[in-house]
Order: sequence, then structure tokens, then C-alpha cells
Amino acid sequence: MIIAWLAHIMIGIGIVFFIAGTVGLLRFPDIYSRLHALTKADNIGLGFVVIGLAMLSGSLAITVKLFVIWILIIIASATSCYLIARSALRMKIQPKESR
Amino acid sequence: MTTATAFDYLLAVVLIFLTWMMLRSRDLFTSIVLFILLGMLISLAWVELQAPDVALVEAVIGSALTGVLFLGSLGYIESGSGRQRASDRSSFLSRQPRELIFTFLVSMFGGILCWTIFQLDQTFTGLSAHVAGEMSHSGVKNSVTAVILNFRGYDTLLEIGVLLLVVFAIFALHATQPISLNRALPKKSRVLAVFLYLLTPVMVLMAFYLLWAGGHAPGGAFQAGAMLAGVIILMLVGGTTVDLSARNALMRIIYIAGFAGFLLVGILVVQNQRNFLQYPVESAKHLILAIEGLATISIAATLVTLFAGCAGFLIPDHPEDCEIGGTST
Repeated sequence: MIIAWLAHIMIGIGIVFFIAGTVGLLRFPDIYSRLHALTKADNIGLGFVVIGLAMLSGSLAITVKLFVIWILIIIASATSCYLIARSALRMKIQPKESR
Repeated sequence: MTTATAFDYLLAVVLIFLTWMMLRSRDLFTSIVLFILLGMLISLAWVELQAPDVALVEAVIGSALTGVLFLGSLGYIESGSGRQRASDRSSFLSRQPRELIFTFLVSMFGGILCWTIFQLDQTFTGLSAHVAGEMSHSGVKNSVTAVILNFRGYDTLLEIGVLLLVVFAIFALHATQPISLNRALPKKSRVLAVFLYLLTPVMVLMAFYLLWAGGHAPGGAFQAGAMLAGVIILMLVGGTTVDLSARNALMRIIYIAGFAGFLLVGILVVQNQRNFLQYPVESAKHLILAIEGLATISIAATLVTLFAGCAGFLIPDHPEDCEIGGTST
């Protein structure tokens, strides 16, 4: 019972991070800070959701699979973030100066 | 799926809204991005309809691969030679009659579809019961695989034949002679290289798992082939040189393996009592696995060639009269 509560709290925290990342994507001024918002916040958010789901699953096999998914997504999103930023730099897109 | 949840209604509304956004967008690039997004949500809808097999194919082929092909075509249209050809062709019909003809055709087609829905037999409960009854003869435990590779094997054979025709079309479109070798990106990325070093084995393993899983769970040749194609496409983008040329004897075998293998199995099982593609029950499992294994390789090769042709990775023999647009350099 307590575990279920904890799990829901974890998933809730994860969702907050996802929302923060999405707000960042919509509100931030340039591609570099948007990438920052998306990849960082969503990876943490996904981590909390994975922890919550693992607690709810009650099975070691599913827990391991969930964490493997998380690690794969962290690697993939870090790589694609880097590649997008690199190609943006190549296209000479300037970071927007802060006011 | 017994009752529709609030989430399903939301999904349905978002799907219609996204479709409308996609169609009314004036910018082709925005349309394509919305198309990819739409494909992802459609695959979510398939998950909600408890059809994970279709969801996988929709996500990988319907959304990702088609999206890449669209992006490649857009790059071609916006490149000089593509625009030139487009303006040559637009003299065929002026804008207004062309739009009228399209409107007429689309509304006729839509009308036929609506009419068909009202003609459907209301009491028909589907073929699930028949499939469930025949599962013990199919050689596999997953009903989708049983239907695709056994009960309607003829359709699947023709589908794999269509994929073979696609390869011919790519070679016909992109060069007069066999084409080969990718154009490596100007500067190779070391991060991508490490990423590939880490993940290629995992993705190849996953592809084989999907192939094997097809026997008892969602998966099979199309999903495994798409996964394998994804790995090879990443390697191409990362600067690995892959000889896709039809001059390469091995590639020729790979392109036709799926169709030829399927056809051969279909013919070999013919005996006095059995028809074309009617596998003997005791060896059905192994025959299906063999067909799927060969088909996986052919599908992967076809998808990679399709991507390479569209994204400008294929070098024509005469670049001056066959310029291809695509990836920005």
C-alpha cells in the first residue's frame, strides 16, 4: 500500500519534469536552450516514471527491462541532442544573447 | 478493449486535429513533421486497439521511414534540378482544373468509403474465431504471424514481391548503372561513433529477438527487418561505407532472398494432397522461421536502399545529369 503511494508520487514527480521540459521547449528563445530543456528534463522525468512503474510492477524481470529502456533512452537522447546542436552550430545559428 | 476511455476520445480528437493541421499547413517541412507526429499517435491508437503488431509497423515504417522519404523528397524538390523538373511538369495542367480533378477524385473515394461502412454486415463478428480454431495447424503461437505467414501466405508473398519491385524502382530512378557506396558526412562525429559502438550490438540482438518473438508474440519479419535497417541507416549516417550496389553479387542475393526463399518453400511443399504454400503441419514452424529469416534480410536491405536513395547517399554514375538532393552538408 505504501509502495503504491510512493510509486504514484514518483510518477507524479516525473510528470512535473516532463511538463517543465515541454514548457521550456515552448518558451526558451533558441535551439540550444530548447535542447537543454527537452533532453535534460525529460531524461530525469522518465527516470522518475520508470522508478514508479518498477515499484508498481512487482517483478524483477520487468524492473530490469524498464531500467534498460531508461538507460537506452538516456544514451540516445544525449547523442541526438549533441548531433542536433552540432549541426545547428555548423549552420551558424547563433545562441540568443540573454537580456 | 471493451469500453473507450477518456484517453481514447482525447486521442481521436487530437488525431483529427493533427490531420487538419498537417493538410492546411503551407510549409511542406511543417507538414512532414506533423505527419511523423501523426504516425506516432496513430501507432498509439493501434496500441489502444490492442494491435501491437500494427503499432510497431506503423511507428517504424508508416511514421519514421515514410517521414525520412518525405524529407528526402523535399530536399530534392528544393534543390535546383528538382525545382526545374517541377516547373516543367506543372505546364501539364494549369492549377485550377488540376485542383478540381483532385477534389472530384478525393470526394468520390471518400464517398465510396462512407458508403462501404454503411454496407457492412452488422452481425459479422470477424474471423478471430476461425483463426483461433486453426491455430494448432499453423506451427506458430502468435495468431498474427499465423495469419500473415500461413493462412494468407499468398498475400504476404506478393507483398514481399512488391518490396523487390521497389528495389528495381530505386535503381531505375537514381542511376542508369548500378550504384554504390555512400557519401560520408563531411566530418565524422566521434560521439555518434561511440554511440554506434555501444548500441549496434544491442539493436542487432533486438532485431533477432523480434524475428524469433514473431512465433509467439508481436514481432516478425517486418519489425525485425525495420530494426535491422535502422541500425544500418545509423551506420551510413555515421560514415560507414556500405556497398549497396546491385553490381555486388552478395547484395543481389540479399535483395531477392526473401521473395525467392518464400517462393521456393511454397513450391517445395506442393505434393499430391497439398497446394502451393500449404505447409505440412509438423514442419510449419521451421518453414515459417526460415521464410521470415530470409525476408528480414531482404526487407532490411530494401529499406536501407530506399533511405539511401532518397537521402542522397547513392551516387549516380553521371552526377551532372542526375543530381540528387537530400541531406544538408
